[in-house]
Amino acid sequence: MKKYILIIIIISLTLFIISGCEGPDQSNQKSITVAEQYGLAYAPVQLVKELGLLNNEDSDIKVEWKQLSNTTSIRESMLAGEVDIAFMAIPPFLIAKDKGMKWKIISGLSESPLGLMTNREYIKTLADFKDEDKIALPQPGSIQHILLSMAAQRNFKETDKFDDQLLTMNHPDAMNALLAGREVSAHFASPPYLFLESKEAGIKKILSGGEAFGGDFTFIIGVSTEEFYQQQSENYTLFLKALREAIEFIEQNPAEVSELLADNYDLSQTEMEEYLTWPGMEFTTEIKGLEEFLAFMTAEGYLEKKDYQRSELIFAEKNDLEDRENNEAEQKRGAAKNGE
Amino acid sequence: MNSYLELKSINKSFETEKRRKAALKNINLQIKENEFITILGPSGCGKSTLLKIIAGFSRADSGQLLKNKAQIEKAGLDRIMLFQEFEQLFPWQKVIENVTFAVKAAAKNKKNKLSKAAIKKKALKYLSEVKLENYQDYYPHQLSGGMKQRVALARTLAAEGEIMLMDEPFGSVDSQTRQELQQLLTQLWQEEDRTIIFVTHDIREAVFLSERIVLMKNEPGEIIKVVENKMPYPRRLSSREFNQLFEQLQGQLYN
Amino acid sequence: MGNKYHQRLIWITVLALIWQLTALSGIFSEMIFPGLDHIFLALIESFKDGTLVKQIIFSLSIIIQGLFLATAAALILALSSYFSESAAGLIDTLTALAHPLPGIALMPLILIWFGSGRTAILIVIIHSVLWPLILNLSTGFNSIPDIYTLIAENYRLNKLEFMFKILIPASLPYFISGLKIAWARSWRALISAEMLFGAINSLGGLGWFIFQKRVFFDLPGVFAGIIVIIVIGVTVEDFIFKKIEIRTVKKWGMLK
Repeated sequence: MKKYILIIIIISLTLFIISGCEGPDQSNQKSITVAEQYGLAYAPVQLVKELGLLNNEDSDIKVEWKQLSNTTSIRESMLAGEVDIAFMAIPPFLIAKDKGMKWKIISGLSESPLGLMTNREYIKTLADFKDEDKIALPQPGSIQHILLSMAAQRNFKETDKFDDQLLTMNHPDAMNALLAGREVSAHFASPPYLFLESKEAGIKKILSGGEAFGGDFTFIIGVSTEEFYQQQSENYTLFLKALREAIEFIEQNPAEVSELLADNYDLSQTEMEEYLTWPGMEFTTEIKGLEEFLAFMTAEGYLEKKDYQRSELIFAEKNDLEDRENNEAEQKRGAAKNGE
Repeated sequence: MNSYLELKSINKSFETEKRRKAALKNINLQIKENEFITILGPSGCGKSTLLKIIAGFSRADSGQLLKNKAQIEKAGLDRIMLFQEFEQLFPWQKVIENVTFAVKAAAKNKKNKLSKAAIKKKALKYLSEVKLENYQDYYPHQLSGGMKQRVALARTLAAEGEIMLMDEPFGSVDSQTRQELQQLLTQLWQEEDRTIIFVTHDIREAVFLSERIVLMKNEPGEIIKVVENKMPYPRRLSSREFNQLFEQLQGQLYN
Repeated sequence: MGNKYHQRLIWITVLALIWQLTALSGIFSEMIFPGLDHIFLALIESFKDGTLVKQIIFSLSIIIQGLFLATAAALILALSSYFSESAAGLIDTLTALAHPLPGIALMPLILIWFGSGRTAILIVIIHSVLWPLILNLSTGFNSIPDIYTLIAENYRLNKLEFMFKILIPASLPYFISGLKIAWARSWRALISAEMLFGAINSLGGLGWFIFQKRVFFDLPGVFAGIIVIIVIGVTVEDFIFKKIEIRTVKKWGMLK
């Protein structure tokens, strides 16, 4: 008998404990948590932070910036409700979406040159890779991995041709390994690592992101949870506005932005400007290539669900949001009138 | 009298926290071959220390220890010690293996090559001498205290050293078992040519076992007297002679 | 002992029930808290295509190699520190410095010196296993009864005979408990190292399995990996180590 009482106590304790950790405190409506990442493609986000663009819009808003080391942990933080807004490439977004994560794209952020860099003399094209040549990239399912698979599919009709040669490494480690030239034969790099590596003697690009993809595509998108979008639509709108402002600012005044951000990236101002205006480096809210990624990833079994509508993947435009708010406000007003 | 083992003015002291304590003072003793001698004294009289010096486990501060006129430097298989602690048997070895341990060590020491069968045969012989041949495949922890000491005795015998040193080996068993073991020991000693130096604080035990009794006293550890015990074996605890000697020794130890 | 397993079975059932009820209650989204049915489905899927089995074998082979090397090294070091005072000083200092250091903290160095291959994982395992093993072995050696050293002296054993006939068997209970700690720690080190270093060639081990499930946002898969790790851990602990204990120290009465 005692045993069963104990069991019941433990069950209730467990339930009590679990119910205690039900997500973060949501009482404060004027708060927004953004995950930031290093990398030139995230420059507008850095700008929002540096210029305090969010506070220009609304001085009360509390912004928290979270440094997380990789896309996977960012996704997990968002799932746990600790992060409201984050930035990443399209494939990792789609993978989580497909697994049922309730989130959508806010906006495009940047297009960026990407490249498969090699330190091996004999590698001139993808066909020259030997089995023992290792390719470093962030992780399976990353945009670099998907692009490599796309290129493998295009050239050899064999999506997973290089999957046995992948080495999971973050960009700084991968660059070091590439320069050291021992363990790693190639690195699928993004800026600034791509630019730094292309300046090194003996290192060359054998495949660009565009070649792999077969056209232009958005490298980084902004994403947010449906919960945030619905429950804090005001903050959502604020953030989107600030982001657009930042993107516009970068496109129009790269020199000024370089001065502002050079320290953040530990670069000189000239280098910063060189990188920001590097051919192929574009900051734009446009979302390119979503359909192509969807099609490829569905065909190759990375995604299970088919036939995603654009509206399932991208949040409704800000205007719609404002309209809806206006409608609601009008309805309220109407209701008030009727009550008179 | 031919002196086989000779102790000449042995001194030994220990450093304690407060002072240097003399454990043994000017010990002179001559032991004959194949003699059964007990060293009898209260606890702290240095009798165990003396035995350790004879064994070669510890060295005297001064004095000489001679066997057949030759200086004894270190421990060896000619002077095998039987301890009081039950844990002297190796728990990871079966009874028979504990005995073959000594047979092998002795053979190696004499540079004899023995076959496995010969080793086992020898070990079994000593096991049967202590009447434990039926327990050869037991592990020590499955035996009673008395049986453990018998195995240890068999091991000591199996080393086939001329001298056996015994440091109160029956001190941890109940009195009935002790009497059995004492009887067994005197029998074995009569059958085999061995010199036994036996340390005890039990007067009856000394009287029952040995031909000569060395009486020692406390602080400092000194020899008071060496008493001859000519009673014939097997001795009987209830005999008049036994009790006379017992009382005499008791008087000498505790006056 | 039967009772222990009986009890364990009951508790596992209770915990599984609580788990499943929580999952079904819908307090959490299925992405955060998948039900057991999903987890077991993921487990079966992973076994079906054969990679999980290969990954388990891969992980176990590194662990066995690491344990073997570390045990040999620990024995040599602990023995030299038993016999030589200056070696003892050195080994004691090394152990004091290295023992509290988590292998993961050494990762950057290991990456530079040994790359990110099998060797690197092996080094992490050896590091996390060697020091506790040395500590246990040394404690074992130093706590053998004094009487054994006297017996060794008396029966004129040389150092080698003393080591193998007395020192090592006499300290076996410590040796085994050291190995148990080593097993648990190597298992942990392996998983974390694999999650950090990624796959080697086509094949990673169990840590890689979990990492892969993680990057593809497959939480039931992650739990499936965790279950495999637990099952292997418990199996080794309860069957292999128990068996060894029953056949040695328990049989000898050195362990109650």
